[in-house]
Amino acid sequence: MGKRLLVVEDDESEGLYYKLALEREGYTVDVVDNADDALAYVKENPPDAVVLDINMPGKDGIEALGEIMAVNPELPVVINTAYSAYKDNFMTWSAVAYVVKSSDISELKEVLAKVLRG
Amino acid sequence: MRDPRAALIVLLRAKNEEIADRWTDAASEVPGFKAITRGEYKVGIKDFLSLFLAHIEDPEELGLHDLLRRLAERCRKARIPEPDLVRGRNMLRRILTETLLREFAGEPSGLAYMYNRLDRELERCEMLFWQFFRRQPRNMGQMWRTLSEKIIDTIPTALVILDGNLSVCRANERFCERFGLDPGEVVGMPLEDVLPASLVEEVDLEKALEDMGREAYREWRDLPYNDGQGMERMAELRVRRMDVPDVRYILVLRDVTEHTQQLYQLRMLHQIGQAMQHTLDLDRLLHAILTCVTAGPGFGFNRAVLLLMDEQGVLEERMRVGPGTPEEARRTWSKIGYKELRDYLTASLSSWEPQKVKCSHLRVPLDEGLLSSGLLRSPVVVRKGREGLDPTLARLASCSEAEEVVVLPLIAREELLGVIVADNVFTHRPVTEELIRMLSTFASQAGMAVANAEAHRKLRDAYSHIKEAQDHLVRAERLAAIGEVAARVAHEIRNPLVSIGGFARLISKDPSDPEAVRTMAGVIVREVSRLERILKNVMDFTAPGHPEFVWTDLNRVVKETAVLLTPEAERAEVSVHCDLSPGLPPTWLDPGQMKQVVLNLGRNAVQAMQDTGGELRFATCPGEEGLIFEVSDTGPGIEERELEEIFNPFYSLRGGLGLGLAIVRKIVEEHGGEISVRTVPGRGTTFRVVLPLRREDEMPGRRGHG
Repeated sequence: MGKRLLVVEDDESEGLYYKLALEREGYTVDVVDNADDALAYVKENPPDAVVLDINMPGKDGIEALGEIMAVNPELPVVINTAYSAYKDNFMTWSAVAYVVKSSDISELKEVLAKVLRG
Repeated sequence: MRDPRAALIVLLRAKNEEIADRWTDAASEVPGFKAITRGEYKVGIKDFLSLFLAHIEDPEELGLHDLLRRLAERCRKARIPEPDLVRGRNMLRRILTETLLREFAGEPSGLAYMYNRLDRELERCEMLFWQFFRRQPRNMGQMWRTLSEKIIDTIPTALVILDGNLSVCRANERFCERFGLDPGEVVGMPLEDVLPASLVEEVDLEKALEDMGREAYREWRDLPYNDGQGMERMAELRVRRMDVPDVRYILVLRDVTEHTQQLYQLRMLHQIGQAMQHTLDLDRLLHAILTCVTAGPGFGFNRAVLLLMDEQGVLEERMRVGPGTPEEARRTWSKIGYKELRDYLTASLSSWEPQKVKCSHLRVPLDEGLLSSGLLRSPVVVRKGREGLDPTLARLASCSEAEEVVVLPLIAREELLGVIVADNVFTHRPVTEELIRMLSTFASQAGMAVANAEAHRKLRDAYSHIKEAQDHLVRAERLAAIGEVAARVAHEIRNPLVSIGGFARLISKDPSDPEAVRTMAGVIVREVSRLERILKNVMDFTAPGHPEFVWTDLNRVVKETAVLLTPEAERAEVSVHCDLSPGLPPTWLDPGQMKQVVLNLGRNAVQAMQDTGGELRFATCPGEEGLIFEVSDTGPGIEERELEEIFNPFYSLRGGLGLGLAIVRKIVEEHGGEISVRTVPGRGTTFRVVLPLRREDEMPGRRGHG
């Protein structure tokens, strides 16, 4: 049984893409499209890692990150966003990694592999 | 004397010596009077008065009648009235004399009176003279010698008497003076030798004289001639043909140059003043002002320089006009006549040739003392080398090498704007008080005109600064807007690009599972159409086509669009209702664009109720201001702080480009309509569009689209 990932992504197509692409890497992937669902998921059924988008309608990823950390400080969260500018926001520093979104997910895969190895 | 037009001077050697003496004193500065008082004429005061009155056409009008009556009374009491002649002295300079001779029956009588109706009185003076000769042809002998010489010399105009051969038999002193003749040698000279050739030719005088019938009278007014020294002058010539031996023609020649010039100057002042007030081009105006100051028929100065005050209180030369040499001066002045000057000025006020401007950029700093001293309040004549001359005035005078210059301040609203320095370096013509007075009037008009032009220039400058600043702002704002558009578009296309690229990679890596490939290709297709939609939105907003108006049934547009929206609405559990007022008049609109309005508003409403479901309602009805079209939802409403923003491009409540409402507003405004929104938190939002109601007969085109 592979490691379980939670992908938080509001864009439906992208969510599907991450699911398929990461499943090919042997992960078990669930996708939610908003911060509240993500928090509920983490509380009920903690995954091995979270891939978190920042730009979402409603509660954004940074807020969600804070709440996830409050519930489960040990849970590795990888931020996956289209903008590199959020790196300046110290809230994002509590994430284990910061990946800039791309259709090429090799960086994301490497980061996840590293995070989950330990 | 109440009436300033009338000044009476009686000069006679009468029984009452006192009267004669006192009045003579008062009149002594008027040329021509002494000649009469010295004469041997005797007349009673009564005779004199009746005589005098007989020759006043309308004594009441002249205000003399009363005066004479009172004078007569007082004379009888041997008392002299205190005349106002002293007070009237300034006036005396402008008053001309008239010599009157009457009742020449053995004993000569003399009377002189004067007042300031120059033209009329001179004319009458001459008429009386004619009459004298006509009436007394047989008494000529002795009388001629004892009287006529004095009369001839008394008349304040040039007079020459010609015999039948057109040779001079008598000419008065003024005539000789005027034409530079020796009084001792003038008798016997032929006409063409005593009168300027240009004058004789101008009217073909010799022929005109020969053609005159007995006792005929002819006159020529405003006769231009050259005085032989290069100056244009103006004369009035009167000729009477007599039937007296030796006295065939009496010619009276009056120089009206000054008079015409004054009249002209006054008229010109008025005209130019009017024209100047409407001339806003400063250079053009300054040139016109200087032309007035220098042109012969204008103020006739040889040259003039105009300096304007700059912001540091320095008078800076802006323009100078005038010939450089006496020869050039003569050429220039003889070229410009009265009419020419007016035409020239009118032309130069409307068309302007800058190459005519001469300027040596002289700068004269003004010290405070001079400004407050009032020295530069009115025109002043500056003679160089005079002791105690104000140094600034001296510097101004140094604009010219002439010994004497006139410094003419240009003042408007109590503020010194500049000065004109004018000279007569070539002709040395003295500057008279009269000229100064007229210059002063001219300067105040010119000053106002300059002030107007300056104010206009300042406004124009200020406007161009503002325009520049505005252009700058617009550019900056446009850049900012472009930046915003770019950021929005970049954000919007990022997500589809990630999906498209990602799925394309997955497929190319492992295309073995057809089912998976189909799913992924489906996503790619969906995301590409999403990209296209984004692009279309941006293009719609940045370069929307002009509306193509046709007469349209608004209800039909709404109904058709509502149908399009229904599937989307049903997915969000929103029910769609149409509440359309039947029988709306056709409306002048672009149906395609109006569909977009309905669609965007409807889609926004559905999205607002995405999570809750609800009711979407379209309504139309005729209103007072026009046709009303409303789209209402039962969603959560819009927060007040967001209401102000929602129509701005790129303002988005729910993600997306935020162009929907901006496009709606743009289209509505292009239709001459208005859009407004009202919202109740928790209850819903209504957008209201009011389209102007146009009658079919006031608009072009035929009814289309239903």
